[in-house]
Parts: sequence; C-alpha cells; structure tokens
Amino acid sequence: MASLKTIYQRKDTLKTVFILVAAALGVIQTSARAAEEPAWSLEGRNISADSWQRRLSLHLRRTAYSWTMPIRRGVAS
Amino acid sequence: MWQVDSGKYGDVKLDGVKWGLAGEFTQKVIGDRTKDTFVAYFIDSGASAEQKEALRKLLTGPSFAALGKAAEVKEVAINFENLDAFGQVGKKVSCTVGEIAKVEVTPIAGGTDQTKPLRVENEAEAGMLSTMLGKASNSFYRSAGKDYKFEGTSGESHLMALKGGGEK
Repeated sequence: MASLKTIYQRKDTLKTVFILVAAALGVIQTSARAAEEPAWSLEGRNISADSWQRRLSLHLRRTAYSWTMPIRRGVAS
Repeated sequence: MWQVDSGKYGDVKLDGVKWGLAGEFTQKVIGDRTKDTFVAYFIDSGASAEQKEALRKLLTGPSFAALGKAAEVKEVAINFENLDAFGQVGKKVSCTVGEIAKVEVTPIAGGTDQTKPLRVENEAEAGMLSTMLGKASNSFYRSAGKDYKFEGTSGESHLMALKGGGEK
C-alpha cells in the first residue's frame, strides 16, 4: 500500500501554471450559488495547457491500481 | 480557452462567446482544494457590448471570487483554429488570445482503441463532463508580469457545463 500513498498523498507542494485549467472550476462551482448575482450558465468546449507533466501519468497509475487491487486483496487474504 | 456553445447571464445570452483565463495555483495533496495565487481573464473583443459586460460581471463576481482577485480582465481578440477537430486523436486545436496567449492541444489515443482519445469521465470536479487527455505545444501566456510556456506538457480538451447565481 506504500505505492498507493505515494500516488495520493504526495508530501511536496505542486505548483502549476495553467491556461484555463479545469481543476480550478470545482472552486467555482462550490461558491456558485451567490444570490447577489443573476442565474448564469456556461456550456461548451475548452482547451487548456498546463505545466503539469504528471496528470497523464497519474490517470494511468490510478487505472493500473484499479486493475491490480483485486489481485492484492486476493494475495492478502 | 472557452468556446461557449450555450450560455446566459441573467437575460443576456452568451451563446457563441469566447473567453479564457490564465492562472497559477499550488496544491499540497492531489484531490485537495487548490490555493490560487494568480488569475487573469480574457474576454473576446468580438462579443457584443452586452455580452462583454455580462462576462466581466460574472468573472469578477462572487461565483469566481474563490480564484482570487483578477490581475487583469482584458478584452482581446480570441480565435480558435480547427475547433471542428475538437477532442480527436492526433488533431491539433488551437486558440490565440491576441498577442498575449496561445493554447494548442493534441489529444492522444487510449490504450484499447487507438482511434479514440484517452478520456476521463465522471470527473471529481463538478461541471466537467468529460476530459480528453493530450499534450500542449506552442502554448504561452505573456502578460501581467507572467511568462508561461507550455511545450510537451499536459494539454486537455474538456466538455464542460457550469452554472450558478440566482436564488438559493
């Protein structure tokens, strides 16, 4: 399980620069019910470039983990 | 960079409007809330005066306040190229923001079907319907004292739907 902790709880601080990065949009949603502004909606397409080289590998590693987890459980039991 | 296919701010229709942002954040743990340290917005100068005013109010209003105070909100020409190829494997889509920014992305293939992009659905971030992963190239942002360059790093194509405001 040490490798899983490495994936999800990295101790170092990531610093990322971005152009329209999607990670920030969760923040927008959580505060998006302000009554002092009119109802709004945006649906569409966007493209983003960011400095993160790790996101792709992270997705792949998550996928790999989901495949190997049943095997690990089997070995543990 | 956003191409709004359908949108509104109050009574103002935002269909077809283009806008974007540049920014910087830190994150201690993957999945944790980000700490945003810089943000700047762009609004397409080709939008109507009513649409530009609506977007300016939205981007500087309470719904986007968590991203921090904008270093700049610029009206500038925003132009997409090859948007019809959006999300397709190996096909570049780009967007220029006047002389200050450019985003160019190329989706990559998934492992089981080389004709389809490596795609993430059911994302953690609300409002993100789907993300096609890929690489950035020839991308930059140079304004407000920042000089970002993106070459060979992450470049993503997103289908998105955000909403907010109004009565609770």
